[in-house]
Amino acid sequence: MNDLINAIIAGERQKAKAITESIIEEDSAYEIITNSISKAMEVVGQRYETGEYFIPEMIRSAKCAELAFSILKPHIRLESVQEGKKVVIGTVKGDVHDIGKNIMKSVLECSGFTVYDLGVNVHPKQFIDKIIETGSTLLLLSALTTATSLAMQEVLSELVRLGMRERVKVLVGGVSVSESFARSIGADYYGSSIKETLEFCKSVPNSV
Amino acid sequence: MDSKSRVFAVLEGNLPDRVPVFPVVDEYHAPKVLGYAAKDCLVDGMKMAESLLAALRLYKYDGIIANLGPGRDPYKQLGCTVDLDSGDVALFTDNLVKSEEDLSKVVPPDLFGTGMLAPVQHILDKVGDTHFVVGSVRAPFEISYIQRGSMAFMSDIYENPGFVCKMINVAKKITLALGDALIESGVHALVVKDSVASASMISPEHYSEFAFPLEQEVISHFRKKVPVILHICRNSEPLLQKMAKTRASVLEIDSLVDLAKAKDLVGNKVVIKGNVDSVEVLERGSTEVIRRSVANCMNAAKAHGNYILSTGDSVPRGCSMDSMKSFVGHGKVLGRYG
Repeated sequence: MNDLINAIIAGERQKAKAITESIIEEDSAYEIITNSISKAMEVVGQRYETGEYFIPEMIRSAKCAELAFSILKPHIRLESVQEGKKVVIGTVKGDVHDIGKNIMKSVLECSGFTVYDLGVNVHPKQFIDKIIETGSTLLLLSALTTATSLAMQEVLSELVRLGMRERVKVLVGGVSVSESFARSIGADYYGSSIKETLEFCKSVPNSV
Repeated sequence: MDSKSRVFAVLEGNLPDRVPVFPVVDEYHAPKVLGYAAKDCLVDGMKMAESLLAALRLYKYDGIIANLGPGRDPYKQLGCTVDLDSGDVALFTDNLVKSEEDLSKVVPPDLFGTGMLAPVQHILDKVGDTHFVVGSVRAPFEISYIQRGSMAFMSDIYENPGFVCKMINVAKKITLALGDALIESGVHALVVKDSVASASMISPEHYSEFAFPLEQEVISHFRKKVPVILHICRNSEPLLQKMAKTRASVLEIDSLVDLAKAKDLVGNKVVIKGNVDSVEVLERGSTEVIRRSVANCMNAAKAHGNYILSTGDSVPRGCSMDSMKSFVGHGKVLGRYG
């Protein structure tokens, strides 16, 4: 499995594909996802934090992880998928930046979460509708600019207005977001890194 | 000494009466001053011009960014689909360059006769004699990022670097056409924006390979006629020495950069403009936090000139007018020479 970790970190797609196809005979798909793909993306996230990796390197690795995950997906037994954990994710209204969101989506999927990606420029109602439709207990909001980070507040206000706030843990992230800002708008968590975000998502129970 | 003379004094290597104060007030904050919604100004360049002028009159800083109308970008000329209804800025919702064949669709804009230069001319007519008026263009690397789409463009850097080179060389024609048109209109300087080339996005190696050569080419071209500000927001610290080699007159740096270090590294070659945090300090900080931040900037960069006090990036709409007044006021007092 170390070979797969190294291939993903280095962004070697063909190698990652070949290794995944070979080890699926020996290990369970779920173990490969949690012990290799998820771990590799944690290392990639750490390297970004320390300035060793940048956006192109992150995307290159995320694509490798996605490829390996797509090979493994049909082999995953349903009960092992993070006990059915569902996440709604999207970039808030007024913002079309999606790199950070897409990377986080890959990491979550490769860690066994079921991710509902609403894309970019998502209005509060779309988030609410998807939470109701899927029964997700996690909502991840992304924004790049300070103007659009205020749109996060609108989503939280809407959750409160509809009496849904207690049912959903809300995590906010993005360049313009800080821990104090997250606190000020009443979010449950500020995702400062991939690793911490993943840990937080894992810690949230299926029903809040 | 008027504002225009003050900025030019710095650009010519002289010591003015005080450090010029020139925050990045653009389409994010300016519309708020006249009570316009962002969209009002994005679709009406003259409203944008009036907003920028109103902000200048209200806050009394030294320089003004003259946006092309409508909005900052001639986005239709960039060929992208744009959503003007959802936020405070024009959102690029579809991308022009989906494949290599699409590069033929990227054509340099012809702004004359379109009315898009009218807001720039209006600003020059109103304050061009007394204030430093700067036209704004995107660098080729950033234009390609928009035209191709963020994920695809960042993926191309590894998967198809030859395509990236082709794209940025085609985009160069847009940067040059816009910059030349602005210069012909009479702006005193240009700001070339290349935020996606920062070390928060790509490695210094990729900056050297892709962004830097085109920055150098377009800046050298513009520098024959006007001073040029190179703006790279977020973390540009590892790039500073290379940025100074673009022949830019001014490097506009963000709050993630150590200002004293920047001054030390390149302050004898270029003017440094920056770098108060526009979000954490200006939008969210108290008056005292703003004063302290301005004082820190002055301590780090005021000595021996070659410095313009600014925000590191655009002032947000959410920044209060009192905070802006406080920023400019402290800048004028703490920036005095002699």
